[in-house]
Amino acid sequence: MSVNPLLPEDLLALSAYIDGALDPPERFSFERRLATEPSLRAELESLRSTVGLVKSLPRLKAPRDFSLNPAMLAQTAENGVGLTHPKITGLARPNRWQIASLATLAASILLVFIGLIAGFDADSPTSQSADSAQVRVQQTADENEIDAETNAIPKPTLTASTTMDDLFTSETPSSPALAPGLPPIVGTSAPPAASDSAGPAGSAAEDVPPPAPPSQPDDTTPDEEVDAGTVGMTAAESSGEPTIMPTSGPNQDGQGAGNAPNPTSATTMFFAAATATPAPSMTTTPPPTKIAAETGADDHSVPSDEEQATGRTTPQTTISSVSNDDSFEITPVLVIGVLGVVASGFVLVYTWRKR
Amino acid sequence: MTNFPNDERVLVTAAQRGNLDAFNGLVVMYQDMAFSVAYRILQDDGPAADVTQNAFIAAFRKIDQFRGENFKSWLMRIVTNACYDELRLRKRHPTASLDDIEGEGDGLYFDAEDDAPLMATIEGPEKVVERGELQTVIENCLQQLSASYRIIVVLADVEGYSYEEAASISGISIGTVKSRLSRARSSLRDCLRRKAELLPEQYRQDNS
Repeated sequence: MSVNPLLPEDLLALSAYIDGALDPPERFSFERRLATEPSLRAELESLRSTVGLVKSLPRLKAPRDFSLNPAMLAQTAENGVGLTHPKITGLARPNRWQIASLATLAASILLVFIGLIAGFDADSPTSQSADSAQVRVQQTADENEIDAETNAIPKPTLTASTTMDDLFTSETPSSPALAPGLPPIVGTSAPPAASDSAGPAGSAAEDVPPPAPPSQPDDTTPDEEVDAGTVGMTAAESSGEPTIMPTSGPNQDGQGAGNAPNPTSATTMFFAAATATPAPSMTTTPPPTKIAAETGADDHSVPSDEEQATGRTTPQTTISSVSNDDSFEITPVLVIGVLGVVASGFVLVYTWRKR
Repeated sequence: MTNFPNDERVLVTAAQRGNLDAFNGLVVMYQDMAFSVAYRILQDDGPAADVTQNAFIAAFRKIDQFRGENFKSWLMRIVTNACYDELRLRKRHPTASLDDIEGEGDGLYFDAEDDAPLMATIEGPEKVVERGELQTVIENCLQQLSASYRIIVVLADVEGYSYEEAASISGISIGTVKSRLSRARSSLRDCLRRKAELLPEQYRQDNS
């Protein structure tokens, strides 16, 4: 019976029977068949011997130690073998973050540029219209700062601008004297700086007249007002205009660092407007500081405290009418860009240090 | 091969936290078994060692996906899959693929001439008998099975896994395990009969 005469079902049953895998009923009927069918019994014995032989195979000894080492894991990771273990891949994650943050940083810088360009373009028309009305008020540095803030906020003053001009013009002469604490400001230096970088913003801020304070409360909203005000004092203007010296010059430049002179400038940008309003004390400039400079507000954002203090103290601000060639408008794109730069910079620094 | 479940659990837990030393404890515990399975499936030392090594690497990387079942079975699944990959890579035999097996006799055997590394190292049948290398004869018969059948025989008969475990490890149904196992055993029996004259007397009873 060497030839296999059995049906596949019989082979299946034999195999399962050897393994004790038949149900009791199946086993019972199969055992009855075994008792009556010698060929089936012979087959069972031969298969049982075969299974016994196979099971007798010894477990082989590993030819070497397969223990892992870090180099092995790193090497295979490069080859893409298998999945990466989280603990090990963890090292690579910072890279991904850094790459992402670098990309964000690049995109944000691009946005900033776009925002700056857009801001200039948008402003130019408005500035022209406002030019006539625009008046610069030179105040002490503090005042200037304050003004910028306030200006940005308080558009309402703008409406009065024309009248203000008159007032200011008359007042202007005294300016140097006025600035008690502050250098009278000849802001000449500032203008150039402003032009260089985001200069316009800085200039605008400078330009802003102090008087704004009264009006300020009204407009908390900076950007729009500023635009309307179109006060934008371009650096060039400021420089050109003798009367109004942008003492703030440093501030302007410094949207970034330049602001140093104005302690407040850096922080203030966004907040200045609110703080500025309080400065009502500036009696001299009632109204309408033109000041368009949104950017100026940002740049110079003067700490409210300072503004209040300085502004109030220096009521004497001289006001000079100034024609603004350019004004800068802060666009959402610019804001997003700046935020993106800051955020991606944080991530970058954090991940770098973590590494 | 001390294999205390508690020790294994501790090692697995530590390895899941990234502890390579703990994982290497598991490697030492199971490397003989892993290599044994790989060798008997692949029938080749070098590839079996490579597959074993790669399987341990893959196991370490995936161990955080292990959810407390039977670690040995989980590891064997990785080893078996690595063997499948190796067999597919070889492409030496169409029968090495997993899906050619359902026919009644199809794919049960490898082409013995092409795939007989062990036999190639044997001087002759007489020598085998003389040296009593029964193991070599059995290995040779195993080798003549197609891979998909051989894997089941290795898991169920050589390594002693249950049908359920063998099905889980090899990724096939229990029914398929049963049918492949019965046919593989039958063909192994036939192979051993053909070499009966090479076997010591005590193993020849099968032929009668």
